[in-house]
Amino acid sequence: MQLKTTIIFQTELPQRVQNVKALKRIVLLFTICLMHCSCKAQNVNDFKLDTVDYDILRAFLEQVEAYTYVDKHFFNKNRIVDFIGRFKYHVKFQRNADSICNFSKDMDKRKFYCPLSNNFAYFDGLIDEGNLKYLLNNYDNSGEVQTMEIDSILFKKPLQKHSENYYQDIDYKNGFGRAETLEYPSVRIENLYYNEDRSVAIIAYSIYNNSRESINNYYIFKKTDGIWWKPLGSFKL
Amino acid sequence: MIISRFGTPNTVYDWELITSVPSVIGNKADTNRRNGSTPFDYVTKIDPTYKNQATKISIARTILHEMLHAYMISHIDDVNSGNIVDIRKFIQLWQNIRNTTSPGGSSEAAQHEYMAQRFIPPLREALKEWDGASQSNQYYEDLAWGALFDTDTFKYFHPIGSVSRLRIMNINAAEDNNNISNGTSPKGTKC
Repeated sequence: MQLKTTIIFQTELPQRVQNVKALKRIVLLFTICLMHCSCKAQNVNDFKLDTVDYDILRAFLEQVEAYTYVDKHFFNKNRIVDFIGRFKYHVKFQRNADSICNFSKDMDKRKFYCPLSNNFAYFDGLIDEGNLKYLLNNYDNSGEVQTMEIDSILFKKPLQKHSENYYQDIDYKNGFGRAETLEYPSVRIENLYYNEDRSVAIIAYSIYNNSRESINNYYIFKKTDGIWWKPLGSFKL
Repeated sequence: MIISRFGTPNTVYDWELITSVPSVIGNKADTNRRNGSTPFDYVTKIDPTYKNQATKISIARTILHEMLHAYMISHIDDVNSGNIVDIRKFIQLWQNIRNTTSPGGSSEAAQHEYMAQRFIPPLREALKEWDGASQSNQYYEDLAWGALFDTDTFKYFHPIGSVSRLRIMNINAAEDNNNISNGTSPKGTKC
């Protein structure tokens, strides 16, 4: 019996040593990961909207329909993967439309695709593959919700601030079943992204038409003449 | 026609209906390309809280509504691949897509507008048939307007302050929540 135990121990020993080593590696990796994640989280938490961000937010709200309510929160949601997928779809659509417009012999097709190609032309070449990778590497995380300086962004157009009752009633985490208010449509700024040279800015937003119906979209701006942010538009497909 | 698009054996169009939290928390349901960008492959997510709370006819209406989204997105994917065979049926949809420029003017908004313009009677009839025509035509038509309150068509036919607008919104809220909404009781029953 004892012999058997010893044999088992001898055969298990190298395995156990390996297990301990593996365990140490896991602990080390976990520690590194924890440090890395906490650093990353720290960076996200430290993020504050700056003057350029506010310029873009103002430019965006200029495009929003008058009398829309504007939520005072900057939600810092992670929407970059969705943005990249939809952006690529629009680029592909534009290129296909452009190709048919230029090369098809079918006049009906050209009449249909040429205006679309023109309509979507700004997508092609706006954000290249390298910049899409940059966006993914730098923005694939969520951060803490911030409160925006709402008065400084709502001075141009007749947009509306939500009442205190709205903020008391609303349940952002569990949208369904939240109290009905009449403060709709309501626009929420969910994130703001820049390409690497900060010549393109993207606002991720939602517009709630009532408590249960909303749309997610993105509005794209291009820095023009190095001075102002030209509104290009949102996704349409 | 719509069902055959997704239901024909070996069709290139795939539509999956699942109970899952939609991409926008708080929405009853949403329909998108799988992973946001895979053409011809669509996923409808029905919010589990909504599904557990709403009446059966509300859920039936939501499934029909989302099926129309899948149908329209599949048409957009057809156009993306150079196929415009059905284009005459969808001219209004493309006009809506081209004309909308404000941040509210997404594809979803354009699809809602197209639904409001073209699909209220078919939705009404489908709900009536599903429900065994036990209620008035008005009731089924009011339900058909669900999730289309943001459209110009709805605002035109049922302007703010009108009796019909309030009635439609209350009926939809009552069935969605399976609860009395401003004095309107749900007529449907829970799953």
